[in-house]
Amino acid sequence: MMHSSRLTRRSVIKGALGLALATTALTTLGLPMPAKAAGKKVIIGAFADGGLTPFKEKIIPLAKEQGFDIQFLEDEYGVTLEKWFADAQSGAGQYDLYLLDDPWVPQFGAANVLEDLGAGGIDGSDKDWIGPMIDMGYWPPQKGPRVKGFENAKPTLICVPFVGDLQTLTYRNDVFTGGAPKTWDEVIAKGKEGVAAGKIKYPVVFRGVSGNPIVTSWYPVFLSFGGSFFDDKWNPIFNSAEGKASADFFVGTMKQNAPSGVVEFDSDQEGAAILGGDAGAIIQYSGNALKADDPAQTKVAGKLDFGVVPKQEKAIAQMGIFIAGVPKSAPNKANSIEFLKWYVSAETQAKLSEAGSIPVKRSAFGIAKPGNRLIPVALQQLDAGALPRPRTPDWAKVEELLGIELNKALQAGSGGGAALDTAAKQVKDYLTTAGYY
Amino acid sequence: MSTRLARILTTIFVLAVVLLPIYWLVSTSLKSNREITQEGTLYPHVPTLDNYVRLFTEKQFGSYLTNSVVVTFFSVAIALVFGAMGAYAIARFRLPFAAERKIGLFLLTLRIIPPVVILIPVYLLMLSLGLLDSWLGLIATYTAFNITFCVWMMESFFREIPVDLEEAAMVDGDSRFGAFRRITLPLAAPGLAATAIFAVLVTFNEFLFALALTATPRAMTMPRGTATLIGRIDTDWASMAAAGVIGALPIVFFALLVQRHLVRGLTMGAVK
Repeated sequence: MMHSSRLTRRSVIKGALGLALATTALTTLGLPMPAKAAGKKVIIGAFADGGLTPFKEKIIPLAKEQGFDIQFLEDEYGVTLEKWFADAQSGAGQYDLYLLDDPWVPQFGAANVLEDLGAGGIDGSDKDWIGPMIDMGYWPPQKGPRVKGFENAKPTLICVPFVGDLQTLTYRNDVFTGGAPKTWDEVIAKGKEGVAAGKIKYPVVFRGVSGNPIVTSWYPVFLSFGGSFFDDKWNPIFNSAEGKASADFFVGTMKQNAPSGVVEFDSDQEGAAILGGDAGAIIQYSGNALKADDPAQTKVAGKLDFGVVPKQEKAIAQMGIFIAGVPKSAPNKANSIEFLKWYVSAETQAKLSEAGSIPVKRSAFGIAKPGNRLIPVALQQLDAGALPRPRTPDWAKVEELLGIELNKALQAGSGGGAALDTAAKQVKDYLTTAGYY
Repeated sequence: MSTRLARILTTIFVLAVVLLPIYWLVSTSLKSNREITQEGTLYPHVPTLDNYVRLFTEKQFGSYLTNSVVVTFFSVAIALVFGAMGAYAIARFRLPFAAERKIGLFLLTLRIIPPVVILIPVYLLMLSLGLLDSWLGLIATYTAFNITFCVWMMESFFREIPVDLEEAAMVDGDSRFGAFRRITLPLAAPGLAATAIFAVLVTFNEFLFALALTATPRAMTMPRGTATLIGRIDTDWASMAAAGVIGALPIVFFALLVQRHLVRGLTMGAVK
């Protein structure tokens, strides 16, 4: 018997009914429907990141107890900047609070789309703040060079540090048996011994992908060699002798002691190398470091310890924090500012530390039981030195130009210093076009 | 014998090419992130449904799925209704300067324009209409895209149907619209199904406009929601694979429903 091929009313109804039933079945499988607003509503926009897990799991419930109705909206890191900036500029009012990556503050600051939190009653001069962290919330910056048009503007607190994050060293304690390696030479030498003993496959691992990944991996090496990025007039000086030495070490010695595909490594691959037990040491932000004790996330739970980044001259890490800003178009502005006041209080920060996040107030580092053992090391690193990236709205472009040249040198396995010369010229040309001089 | 063997090997190769990614997706969705990134196993050594549970308990994928199904259903349905009528008009009526031939092509160019070109204007339009982050905003946008495609595609199907059939119906007293609804449309059902399939695929998988026009689980669609699993430092591959499986289910279900019509729709008009 031949089947009829006509799209009958019956088949359409059957199809629609099937879709409806499938949808209903899938959506009722344990889906917690969003609760109706039952308090002071605050819509928080965040990019997905493991560093925010303690906040989501422990602090949001506390906020609800305080009467806040928190709607936490996560998005992919790669799209949040453009999306939030469009939201702020157009006044769409989709968010009450952005949890920004700190290099984005200058862009939002220059566009004048964020509320003055100081005027809202948040005290930026509180001595309990971690100094370099609260400094990042001001636009224009209180210290260091300023971009054109803002030379004489009064610094305004447009953001407050939300969750601390900075690079620290994660190392294998069965390879570096004497504790965290103090210098880069020690990292390589002891790492090679670990390879020879069959404990690990590579002394180090890092990210080599062009752009932000490679620059982020190179940055603490650069700082530890004593490099500086810009002078007070925004002239690039990262191709100084110290900078070149760091780049040569990075693309030469470090590459030789890293996995063979490191040129293509991003955070997934470097995370797999350290958590999978192949690498001896890594400098990383807290996202992957927080997995070090979880057997579900790593094969070498118990064998990973944390320390201050190695030094050549100094032991300085890059700091990159989550920082909160309230858009001028926020629909629940007063609630947001009230929430921030509660959140940055010493008491709540202590809870955040207990929950396992790096706090933004110094007092919270000193609690009896911090939620993970990275927190005291983070304080050691802050005290040893941790610097934010230069405060310019054009940092992403600078990072892109530098990252391309560094990646080329990494592929070649040499020529780090020459790559910095080329990048410095490109950066200078770009900033000239952008009117920096 | 050698021809048969070659056929078998070719079939196995084609099946492998088609099915391997699906196997890998399903298999990955049943692994832990550690197994995916650090062990690289060929099959789940410790199968778990946790990734699926997490999507619906922690990640609000129930909302994303509902939004996708609702937005796709309405935008495609509206586009099919109006697109079919538009296509019929172009196929049947003659306009001055043979404009009916150009209208179809003109409408198609609207579909050909890279979406990113009109992204910002559409965003601002939705902003001014207060339709950001809403089903209605997405339905309106997708319907606009789908209608152009439906008109262009359905036009050729209507041209295949002899006009004599409608004229016979009208001689018997039926109206133009009645003849269209009772005679032409049922005959064009395979074409309608084929058009619907393509429109559903494009709409259900659309990412760019969903990214710009939605911000909350109230309106975020599956592709948009899946992107939230990509973090700054790490990516939740296990959940992404589970989301891929869940996201594919409605499309598979729909394809199974209309597959009989799809085959005829694809070949209709190929041979005169």
